[in-house]
Amino acid sequence: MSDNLLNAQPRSDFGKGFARRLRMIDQIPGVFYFTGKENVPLSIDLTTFKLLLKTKPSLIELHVDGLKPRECLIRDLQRDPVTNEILHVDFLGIQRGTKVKLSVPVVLLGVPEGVKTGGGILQHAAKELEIECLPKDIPSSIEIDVEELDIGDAIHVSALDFPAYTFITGAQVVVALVVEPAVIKDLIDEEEGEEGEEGEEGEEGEEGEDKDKKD
Amino acid sequence: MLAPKRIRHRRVHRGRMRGKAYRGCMVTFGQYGLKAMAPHWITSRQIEAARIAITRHIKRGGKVWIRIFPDKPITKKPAETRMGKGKGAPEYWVAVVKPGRIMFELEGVDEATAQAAMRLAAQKLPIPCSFVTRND
Repeated sequence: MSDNLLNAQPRSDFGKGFARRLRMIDQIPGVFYFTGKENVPLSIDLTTFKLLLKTKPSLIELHVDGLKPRECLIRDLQRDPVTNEILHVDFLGIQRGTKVKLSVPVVLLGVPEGVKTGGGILQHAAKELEIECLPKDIPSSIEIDVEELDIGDAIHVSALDFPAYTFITGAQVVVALVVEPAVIKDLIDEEEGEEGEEGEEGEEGEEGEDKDKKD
Repeated sequence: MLAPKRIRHRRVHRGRMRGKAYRGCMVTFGQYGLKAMAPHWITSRQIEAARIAITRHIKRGGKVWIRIFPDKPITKKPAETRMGKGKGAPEYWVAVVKPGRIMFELEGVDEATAQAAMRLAAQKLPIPCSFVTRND
């Protein structure tokens, strides 16, 4: 069993009114589901859950009053788009020995050669990768060394070698690449383009008017 | 400046900007983002001014994404015109932005530079903005 414990209380009320009242007393609504079992609606203490999230747990041991402890994953986390506060959480129960599919964040290690010497830009193309593995092998992140990348080089999913899990994300997906800086060219284009922009607008406007007349 | 290439209707209703932006509210492409904290129409000129502010500050290095597009035409009647005689001509383009929307994203620079660049960009926009990172 994991060290990441979380206590939760089952709830019998539903709906946005009840959810809002829960959030006002520093609790958040959630749900626990497990294959072949009925969903269990929960309420969780927000402060405890936030502290748990800081440890970036891969597995959580969920203690629900009246039910036996279950190992689970955080399947979904709803946040407020403005305040970024947690609104709702989904827990997916897992069974030992059965493979699970999940998305894991990718962490790039080191500064690439192309950035150090050539002034290139490191682009982190795939921020998350989907993997399939046993619950005991779930990593908190996938760490990839990018120090050897030169300008124009890229790391694809096919180049990653992690025997503990299989990648579901396509083998041709680019994880990280080093590109040439294009900003200077942009700035030159901007200065040249400032004079020409007004003329282009005029042309577009005329075309639009013609269309209107035809209608 | 950003503007649609082809349009279906030259004039559209003003519409309303109720609620929050539940789509486009996560930093998806880069590492840092500029989030809108209020609803507003952002004109193509304001988007361009903000983009130039960011690219000039980061000089070389870094990649910028613009996550909003001004696809709404705004009409205006000429000065000293009597009321009536139909709706005015399309004058400029705006993007409808709701609170929570990530408007710009940035990658390839350190956090201090990104924060300074986004602060300059926010000064070009008519709404309060907030600097966000992917890890938030």
